[in-house]
Amino acid sequence: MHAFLFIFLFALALALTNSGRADESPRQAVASDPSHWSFQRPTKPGVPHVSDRAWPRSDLDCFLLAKLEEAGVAPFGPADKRMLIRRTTYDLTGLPPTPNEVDAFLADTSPDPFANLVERLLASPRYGERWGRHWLDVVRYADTAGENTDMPVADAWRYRNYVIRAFNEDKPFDQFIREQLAGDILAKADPKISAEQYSELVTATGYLAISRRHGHDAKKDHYLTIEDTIDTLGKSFLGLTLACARCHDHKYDPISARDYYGLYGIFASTVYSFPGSEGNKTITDLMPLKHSKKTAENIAGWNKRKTELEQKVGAAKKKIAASTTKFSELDRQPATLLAEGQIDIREEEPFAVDELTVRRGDMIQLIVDPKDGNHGADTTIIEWELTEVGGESWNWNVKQDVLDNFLVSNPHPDRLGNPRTWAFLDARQPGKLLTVPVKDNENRAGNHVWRVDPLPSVFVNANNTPIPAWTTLPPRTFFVHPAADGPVGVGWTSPIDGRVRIRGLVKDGHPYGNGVAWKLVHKKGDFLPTITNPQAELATLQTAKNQLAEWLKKEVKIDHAYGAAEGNMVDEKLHRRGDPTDLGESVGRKNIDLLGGQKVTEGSGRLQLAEWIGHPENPLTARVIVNRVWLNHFGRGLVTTPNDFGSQGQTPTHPELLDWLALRFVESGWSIKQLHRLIMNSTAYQLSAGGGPEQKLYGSFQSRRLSAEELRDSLLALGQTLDCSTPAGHPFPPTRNYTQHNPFRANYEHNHRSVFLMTQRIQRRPLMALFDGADANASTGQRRLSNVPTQTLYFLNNDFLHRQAAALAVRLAKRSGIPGDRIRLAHRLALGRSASKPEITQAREFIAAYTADADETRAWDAWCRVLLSSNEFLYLN
Amino acid sequence: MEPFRYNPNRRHFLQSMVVGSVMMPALVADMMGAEQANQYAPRKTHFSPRAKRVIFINLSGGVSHLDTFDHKPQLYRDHGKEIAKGDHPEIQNRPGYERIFLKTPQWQFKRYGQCGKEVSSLFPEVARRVDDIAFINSMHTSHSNHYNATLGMHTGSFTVTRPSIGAWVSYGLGTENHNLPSFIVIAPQSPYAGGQVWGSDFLPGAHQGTRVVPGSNPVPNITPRVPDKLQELELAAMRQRNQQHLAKQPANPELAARMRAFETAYGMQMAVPEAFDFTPETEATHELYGLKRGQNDGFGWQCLAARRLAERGVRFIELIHTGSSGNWDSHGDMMDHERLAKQVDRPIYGLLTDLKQRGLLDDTLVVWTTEFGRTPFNSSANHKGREHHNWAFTTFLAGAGVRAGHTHGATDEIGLKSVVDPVHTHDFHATILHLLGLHHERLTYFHDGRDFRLTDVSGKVVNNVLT
Repeated sequence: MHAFLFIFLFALALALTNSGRADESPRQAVASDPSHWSFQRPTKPGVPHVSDRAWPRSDLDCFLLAKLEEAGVAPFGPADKRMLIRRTTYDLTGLPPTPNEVDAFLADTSPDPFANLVERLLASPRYGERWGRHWLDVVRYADTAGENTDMPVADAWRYRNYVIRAFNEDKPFDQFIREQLAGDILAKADPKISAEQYSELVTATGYLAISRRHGHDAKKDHYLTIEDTIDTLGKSFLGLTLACARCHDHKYDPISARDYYGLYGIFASTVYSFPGSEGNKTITDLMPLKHSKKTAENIAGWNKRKTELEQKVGAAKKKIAASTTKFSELDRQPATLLAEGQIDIREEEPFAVDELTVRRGDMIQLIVDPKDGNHGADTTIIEWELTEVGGESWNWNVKQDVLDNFLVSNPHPDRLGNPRTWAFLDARQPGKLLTVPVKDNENRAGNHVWRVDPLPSVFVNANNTPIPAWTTLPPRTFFVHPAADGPVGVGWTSPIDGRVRIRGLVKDGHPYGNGVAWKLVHKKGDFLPTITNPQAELATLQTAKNQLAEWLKKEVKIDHAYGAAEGNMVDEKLHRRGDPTDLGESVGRKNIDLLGGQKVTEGSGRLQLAEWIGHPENPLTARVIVNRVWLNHFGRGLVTTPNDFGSQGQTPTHPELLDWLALRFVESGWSIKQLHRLIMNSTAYQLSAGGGPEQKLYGSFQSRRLSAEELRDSLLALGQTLDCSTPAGHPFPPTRNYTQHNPFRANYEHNHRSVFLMTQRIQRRPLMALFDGADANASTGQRRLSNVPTQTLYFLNNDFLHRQAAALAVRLAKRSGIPGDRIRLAHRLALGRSASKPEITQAREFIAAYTADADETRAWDAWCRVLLSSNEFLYLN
Repeated sequence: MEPFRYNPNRRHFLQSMVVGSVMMPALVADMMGAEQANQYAPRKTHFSPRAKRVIFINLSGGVSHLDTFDHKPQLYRDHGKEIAKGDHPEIQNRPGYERIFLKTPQWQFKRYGQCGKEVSSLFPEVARRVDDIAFINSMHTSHSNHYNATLGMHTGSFTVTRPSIGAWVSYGLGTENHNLPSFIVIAPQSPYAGGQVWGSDFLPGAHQGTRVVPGSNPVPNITPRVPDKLQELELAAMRQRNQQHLAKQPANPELAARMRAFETAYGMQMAVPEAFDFTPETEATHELYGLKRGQNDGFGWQCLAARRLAERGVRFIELIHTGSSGNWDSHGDMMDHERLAKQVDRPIYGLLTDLKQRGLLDDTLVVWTTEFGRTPFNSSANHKGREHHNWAFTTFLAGAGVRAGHTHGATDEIGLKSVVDPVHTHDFHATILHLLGLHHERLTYFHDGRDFRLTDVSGKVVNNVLT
């Protein structure tokens, strides 16, 4: 007995005894049956005897024919060669055969033209685009994260293209499993790996990273993402609904909650690239792809200089902070309150002090505080005037003093020539002067600002006209804006010994939020020497900041994958009833008991998991993938529930054939292309289409509708507007300020193949929704095709369909002016066959009837629509 | 060989179908082919239904129960009183919310109707219909985020995608009119959680909601691009091609069904614009919905469109006001509720009145809901807004089988928690399905190895709101 099989049987026994006592929660009625067919290793079946020795082209056919003969049902004859090449070309590439390809196939006199056709199509890059799409369905690929804002994931496309390459290169499926689950580990383990190979392996772990994200702060809801990983892992590789065991032992299959949390720990010990979310916008943990030594040196050099410049900025900031220390000390003293109040939105309140004695250097401060629960809408208009009582009757007016040369310095001079009369203050303790001048804030000319970054701030509209900003800023106005966590201030430092009269106004400047509180205070002491303008330091800071900004632009950028890496190794505790806040005992990271229950001994365990899943003696993996390939060739799986091989799934219609295919597949080195050859070079695949009782037994081919992608790609190809190059990512906007109120939504158009269209999770592309595209939120094992009138409306009135029909008409017209030629060519292009005489007559009659009410160009457009709307175009036989 | 010729009789046939839009099921079955009819034709309910269709009004953002239909005199008295913070999900570790204070509503309540239901001055028009309405004042839900709560109110799932209630109803009951989709969502903007709100997920695609955007072109691909006469020619040529193709094919019911679908689509080109063309509606009807003649936006438009769709046999009609922004999420200032209430109060009154006058309220269920309520407290009493609140909110039902003039359940003295006969979103769904003759535990779909339901593993019918 093989060691693995022994372990397996042992595990089965364990599973039997173990499965119920995993959790403290009451045991569910477990109807699970470890003797279920799919949990037994495939055994090499004998090829059944058949009466009709001429029919089978291979052993595969014998399995099918035996059942047909047993049922007494005669299979159909072989398909017409033109139908066959159309069927096969769509099947392997998702595109129609060209007239030349059809001609070449018909003219091929070699011993096996069909085998040649299959070889040619398998070698086409278009093959991976079609069969990669099948796998992308299974792994619910999307270009967005799926949490509240459906954050775009700029690097997801690398995994998409990796999948397409994997199919084109016929990557052995067990290796495909290893790379997707543990490519990063393999890459790091190989010191001699090429940069290209390293990148490929890390990119493969996109399989894990594209798991769906949840909630407002997607990091908090990561347990749901891990559930999604486990769900997709189970369905995609094993045909098991593992996620059922999140809350309790699986009701029908021998999967315990311990199994679930044993796997959970593996993914909890894994770092997933984080796409950002509403509550946590920063993208983190993108996985760097490998680069050359020279690039590495450049990066190091760049980083070094960046650190130096950052230190320079830091030093300048420190000096500026030091320059306000004296002010902060003096400012801290108790002040005399002169006036105070509160205003609501849309309100204003005047203040006045009739006579106040001041000494030179005293500071009077107007302090504006955000009222409780700041919502960032506290733009406040200030008017403030002081007049000397007696003496020279000097007059100071904040607007008149500062509006025209607002940014000249802080402290700011008055009109009389006193250099440090006005000061704009960060009034949060310890008090400081605002040090950051901003000219023409956000490109709004005349809107100048003093602030710390970004609030509090003091600003003006120096123009004679209003400025439309977050609210309309009236002309010639002076404003303050407190920070969310504290006040802003304006200080007037007395240049005189004497008495002053004070008049002023505090007025809401943005009718939103909840108003502000304000107070006017008198602080004694000589403030003048403390409010020096650190001109030199500010200039140094500005220079350093400019240098840093310039340097940041020169960043040596390297590519990253949206993928996975090893994290901190943790075992997970059982979540009682699936509640992550109600924890039970810890479960060591492990394989599910059904597959052996082995403990993780290396790292997170992902590599071991990949080995367990891709083990040649695993009873499920090969059967599941073989069934997927069969399903996509014949329209129906040998197991009709491709994502569920458990007891709730369907039993195989041809169990021996399934085992035979699975064993051959593993023997072939897990080659998908070999499997295609095996299946397609059979009699059964090449039968003509039927619809009677023979079809269930594969005695005829099951015709099928084109998928959404095939429809779009065909329309592009026929109109000669299909771009067959391989695109990279999507034109996502640089801003990522999405919220649940304003989530990311886009619908980018291009002329590449449909597999490259940007796919979102919270909204579906109209074409995909209409023609039953894959679900980007959960594994799609088989698309369910609908046939509804809204689809036919698409053929009648859709703009894209009309455009492509017109493009086809142009193509025909370019080729020939003779109607009969055009009609024949159109049939050859769209249907893979020439037109019959009656069809040519009918088409010409149609053109004639149509031109009674429209010009000839429109008539040909219309006829092309008729052709493209036909059942013969939309269905494959 | 069939000649293609302009066929006036066929045109009349289609038109007559459109005018008498609530088609006989037999005709529909005939048109759609047996395969299709089985999938979408009217289906047997689990027990005798009270309602045949639903108009589901969804006010997005979280309508305050305290300022609308759940009168709490104590809030007016205790304005400014500090209350214990508890474990309210919205204020844990939230700066500024170390202490919380009760906040008075800004509107006064009055008693209305025979039943004496207290309604605030935000909804003076709906107040005139309280005797037709059953209020549920004890709603609560599982999440205080818009996205999750909105998803939950529509699908019963607060995290992952599941079929929408409209899709479940369409799946459970089929449709009466194949010229119109069975589930239509009229939404000027996209809601929280986007198209998942009307998605069919694992249910057959035919049951997904069709989104209508108020305006001149509400349904995609509906407007013919060529004159009718030419389109007739095209359809005749398509039919000819398809018939010739069919004759050479072995039995494939899909092909015939698709041919019939072209006929239906042709009819839809008229039926859909006809449903949204309000020209035949009288001045009095326009007035009833607060709608100007020729206006094709606003909630009044949505409500009148809903009545017209209900008349035409659409199974589930959802009206979304307004979407994921500019909505009832009045954190900053509750006075914004006044602006929003003005947009919907008259139209909802108009809809209820109109349905009643026409006898449609006898077999139509009108649902009024939001995703959650708003807090009776804030970080200071003078704070102008209210926060998200999933512990309590109000919904109402009106029409077929509903115990009119009744208020079910109650919140505590300050409207913080649903304490008397609480109704969870799952219970709410179970009740809606019940009124349609569907048992929420029996309306299931086998997927991924198990039976799924709208109500997940819970849900209890609120018998108290039924007659």
